[in-house]
Amino acid sequence: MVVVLASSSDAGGGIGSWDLHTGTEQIRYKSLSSPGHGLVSVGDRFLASSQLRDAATSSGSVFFWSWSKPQVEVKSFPAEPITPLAANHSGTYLVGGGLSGEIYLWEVETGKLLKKWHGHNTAVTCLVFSEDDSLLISGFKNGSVRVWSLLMIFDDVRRREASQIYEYSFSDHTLCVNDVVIGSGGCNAIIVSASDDRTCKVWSLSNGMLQRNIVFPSKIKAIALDPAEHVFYTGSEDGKIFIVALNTTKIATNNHVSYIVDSFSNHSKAVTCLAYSASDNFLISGSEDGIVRVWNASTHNIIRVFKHAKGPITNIIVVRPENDSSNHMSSNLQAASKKKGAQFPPLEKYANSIDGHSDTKTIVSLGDSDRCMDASYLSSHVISSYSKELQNQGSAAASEMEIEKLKSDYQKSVQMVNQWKKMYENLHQFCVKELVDENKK
Amino acid sequence: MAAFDHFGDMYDVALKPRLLNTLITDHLPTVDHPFSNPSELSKVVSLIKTHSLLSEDVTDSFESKQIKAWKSSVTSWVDRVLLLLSSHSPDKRWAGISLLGVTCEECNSDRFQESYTVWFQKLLTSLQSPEDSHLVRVAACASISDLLARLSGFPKFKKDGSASAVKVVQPVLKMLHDDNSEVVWEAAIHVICTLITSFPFSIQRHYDSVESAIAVKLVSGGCSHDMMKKLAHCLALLPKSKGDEESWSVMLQKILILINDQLNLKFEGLEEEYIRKEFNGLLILPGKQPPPPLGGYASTKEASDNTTKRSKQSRTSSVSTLMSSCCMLLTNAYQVKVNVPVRLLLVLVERILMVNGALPEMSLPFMTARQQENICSELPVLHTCSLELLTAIIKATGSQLLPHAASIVRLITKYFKTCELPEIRIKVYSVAKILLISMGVGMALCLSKEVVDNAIADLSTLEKKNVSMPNGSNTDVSPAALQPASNRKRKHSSTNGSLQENEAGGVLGVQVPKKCRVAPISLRIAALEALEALITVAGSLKSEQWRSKVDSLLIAIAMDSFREGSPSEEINVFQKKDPAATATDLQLAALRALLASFLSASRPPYLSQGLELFRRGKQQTGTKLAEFCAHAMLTLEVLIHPRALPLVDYVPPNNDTFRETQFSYRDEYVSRNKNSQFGFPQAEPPASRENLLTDYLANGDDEMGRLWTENTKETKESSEVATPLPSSADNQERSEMVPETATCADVEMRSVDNETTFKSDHPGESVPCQTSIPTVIDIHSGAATDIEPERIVSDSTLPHNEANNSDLASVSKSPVQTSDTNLVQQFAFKKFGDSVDDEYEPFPEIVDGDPDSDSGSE
Repeated sequence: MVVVLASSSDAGGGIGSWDLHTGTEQIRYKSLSSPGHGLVSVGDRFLASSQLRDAATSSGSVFFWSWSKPQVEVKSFPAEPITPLAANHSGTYLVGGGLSGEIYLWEVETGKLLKKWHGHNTAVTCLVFSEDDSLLISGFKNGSVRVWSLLMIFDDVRRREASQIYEYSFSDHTLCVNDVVIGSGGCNAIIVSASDDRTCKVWSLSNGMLQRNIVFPSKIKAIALDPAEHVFYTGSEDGKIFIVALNTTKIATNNHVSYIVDSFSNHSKAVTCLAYSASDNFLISGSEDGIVRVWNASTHNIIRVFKHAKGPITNIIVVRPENDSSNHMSSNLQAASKKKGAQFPPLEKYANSIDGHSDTKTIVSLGDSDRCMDASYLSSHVISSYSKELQNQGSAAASEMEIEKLKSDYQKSVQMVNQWKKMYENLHQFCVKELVDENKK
Repeated sequence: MAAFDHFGDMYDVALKPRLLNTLITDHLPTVDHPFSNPSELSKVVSLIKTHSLLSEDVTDSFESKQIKAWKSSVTSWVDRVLLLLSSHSPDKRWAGISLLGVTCEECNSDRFQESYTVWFQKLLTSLQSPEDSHLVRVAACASISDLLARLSGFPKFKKDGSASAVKVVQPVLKMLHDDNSEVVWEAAIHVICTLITSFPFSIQRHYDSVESAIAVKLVSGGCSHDMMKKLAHCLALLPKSKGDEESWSVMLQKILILINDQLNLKFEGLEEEYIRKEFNGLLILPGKQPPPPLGGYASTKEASDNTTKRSKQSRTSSVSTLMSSCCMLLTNAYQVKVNVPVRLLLVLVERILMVNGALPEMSLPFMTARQQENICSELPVLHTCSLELLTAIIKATGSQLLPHAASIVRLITKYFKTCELPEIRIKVYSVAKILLISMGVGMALCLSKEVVDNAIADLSTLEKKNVSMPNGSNTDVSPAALQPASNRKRKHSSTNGSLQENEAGGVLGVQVPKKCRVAPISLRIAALEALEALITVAGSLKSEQWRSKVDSLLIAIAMDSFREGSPSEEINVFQKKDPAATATDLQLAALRALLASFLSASRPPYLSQGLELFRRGKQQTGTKLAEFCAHAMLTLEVLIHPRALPLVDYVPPNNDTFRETQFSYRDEYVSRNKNSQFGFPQAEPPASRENLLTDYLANGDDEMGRLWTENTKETKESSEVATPLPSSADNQERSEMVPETATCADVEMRSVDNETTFKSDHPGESVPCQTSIPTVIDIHSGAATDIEPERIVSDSTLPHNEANNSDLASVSKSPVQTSDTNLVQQFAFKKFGDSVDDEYEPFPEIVDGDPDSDSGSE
């Protein structure tokens, strides 16, 4: 089951979920209002979202939901309000960006705040992991985009030595970065960033160069990358979704707009978020008017419309919940899944670095315990390996067996001899008797 | 029965009972006659398995007579086997027990469910009978383990099975204790492993005694290497029987404590105090009670008594076995999540790797040369083990290694510099490879230098050989020969490259004498594999420093591997301990790395040579190499003919954009080249096309557009061609222009119609009229950029900018409205002045050609 999840900035609007194929609404997870990029599926195991509370509180909040229950499973309150959240693909780490520009990295399993580092002087607006989870790309409110190597972040020695701890810092955007996506292709991947300065910029990961600058007629709020990276879609403030060709060259000099292949729109209001469902080539857009629209990416027709909230949609994610089958199947499984959700402790507020051993242990799950072990049968192997020995009577074991056999043979022979002896004696006696009897006669 | 009672074919069910009966009568021993030919049994078993004679796998379609026949013959088989089992002669009993095991594995599940209790009893009694010979016991163990393994497949017998399994534990443990034959131990261990995986509850009660039984054997170290491996495996499995987090951790801790004890003895005076302290501090965290020693106190005491008596050799093997047990604990699947003390394990690895047998100044007086010799002889094994442990840690933690990755990188970097033994270097390479693949780009940034330096050092012996050999001169020339070609395109980067080339040569030259002996093939393979992994992960990420070096090295090695029969390698093959790694494997590894280097480069410099190599490799029919080369050709085909197909069939809303997008897709190849760092790998065009391409790139995109429109022109009607394509315009511009051009086209259509009627009379004059608009555009753009005449053909060039656009608009309107083509031509020629004169000669004939054909088709 492919599920579309959408959150809005409405207070109490919750997080709606719809089955993408049938269009039926699933569970509505109870939440406060979620900021943009604050909704993430952690390794398809559970749902996490940062929450905006009233401005009075100084701490932020991040909520976890298990797939099967609308109630918040775990609430955690980081040191400062967190807006963007990102999880690595296996769902072992959760990264959050603070309003102050700090970036926090938690271990999901233990809730430990493993690292906290200063990203920039302005608020972090979006965070995204690279394909191999080794890099983290962050966008900031002042328009800069930074690429971090997590290895570097964890390497205290090198961090002290290095002049800067980021791999790249792109500062070509002049206004707030609204969305950042990274394509596939390992080190050859491209990073596309969208900004309020009405541009999208394409960066090369391999050399950190600006590859392309695309100017739009209005502010760009969201990007979705076509999985084949042929085009990308941008959602703009004027309600249009632009299709931008990635593979073309610039068609005319000094005319950047020519990258834009096409645009389509059915939004009266700004497009706030975009997602691409690779399994059926659907483009899903969320709008400021609180409606989620599913488009056929090739025909640009609207396939489904989900009315979610009154306020703007802030996040759309397409997920395949891990234990969705447990909802309908045995209660046993469901219990297990409940346990699973409760397993994760809340995220810690501060790094626990007083004792140096906070990172000595790592909780991991070793393999899949459900994997059925192939029963290994041994007897036929025993037969084939030992029958030859027996035949040749070569080894000690075989000769031992031979001895046993001889022993029993010997016993048998002894018995036989005894029998014969007895027979002989009987015969002898008989004969003697006969003779004696004859003599007597 | 009937001698001529034929059956269908080898798949006929009727065959099975017949064959089984024959086996029973002819090949199985009988109770009365002596058992002359034990080796026949394996033939029987193989026949039973291939024909699945015992499966009684019947469907409804079979006749009941056949089913009955099969059933009865299987029954008689079982009867015979049971009869043998209770025979007095040990060899027949052995045969009976073993065959019962096979029956458990092979028979129909109904039959198994019916009779497993009886079989189990029979096997249990033979397991318990003390006076039997070893072989019979081994067979009994094997068969009972097979029975239990089969039984575990039936969930409904779980309880019953556990009850039966419990009965097995004691006799098996007794065998481990009392027997002194390794064969029996092995079989007993197998039973225990089956119990742990199939019926964990049965082991739980005897957990401690099983642990101690294994521990004693492990620590005393009196077994063969294979046996030790099996014991270690069993020990690692043991926590599974409890299946909780606690017992896993305790087991690991117990093993580590034991390792620590032995290492403390061994490394006395050889290692730095701090690392031992660190390890101890992590091993037993302050304020926590250490767990009881592995296998209970008494047994370890006894064991350590044993070890002190035994030679040091056995102690190493027990450390290495214990470490491999740790590895298995880490890599085996486990029911619940566990708490892996990564830091502790890493310190252990580091602790061992940092001991190189050198004596620190202060401990010189306390150690004899003999002792040092002993240690040094053992160290390679220990180092190998700790690298294996490192691999296991990486595998176990997966993505969660991140907090520790930096320390691993440092460790590997440090160790790589000192490590010299080929076998250990291979291991280090493999660790590096795993790290690169699992941690991706971030890891490559840290590890690239180390991997490249070491791999070049290990592979450079080949380079040197190459230089001296006449054949190799080819290889040496190639980089230089290729360089100029690429120079033209990417002047900046390729000059860099050539500089590095020279540097690389210099570096190699320096390094060769240092490592004068030829690295063994397996080491070279490992180095190539590590390079391949590096290139795969980060072939173009900040790789300027090493990329060109590695590329030229790889092509050199690959070409060298195709040279026939290099004698030194032939000898090497015989010298080597490991017969698996041959020159062929090296060749394969070299080609794999080469393919990776082609695919990850933005512009692979040696593509043509590489293609040739792959072609040659593909001809070696039936080898792995040919298989791989076929794959490589397929992969490279995409590089040569790049295609970027959209995932979604993109249907454009109107014709103009369609053309534009199509244009874009076609053009992508070139544009990628131009951008060169952008996304997909790019092909190296053949040398003949080089100039052409460079020109395009230098001149910008308009020429490309013209080229494309030229190609697609034939599909369009002439009147359409005449309309200028507003493809360069942005959306607004386009929306303004489209109606305008449309009306133009309409008007022109009419005019063209007029012209065509006219044309029949005056063909020579009418032709220019039709193409008047394109003519103007052509001249215009031709003037702007200086290119070969035949490239100007395209009719609908894309205007440069808006200024030109408006120019064109005015120009294009005038002919339509006036229909005075001569005027337009003159106007155009006047307007664009001198440059037009140059183009004037070739120009008319081209224009003549195309519209003629078009109008002919109309």
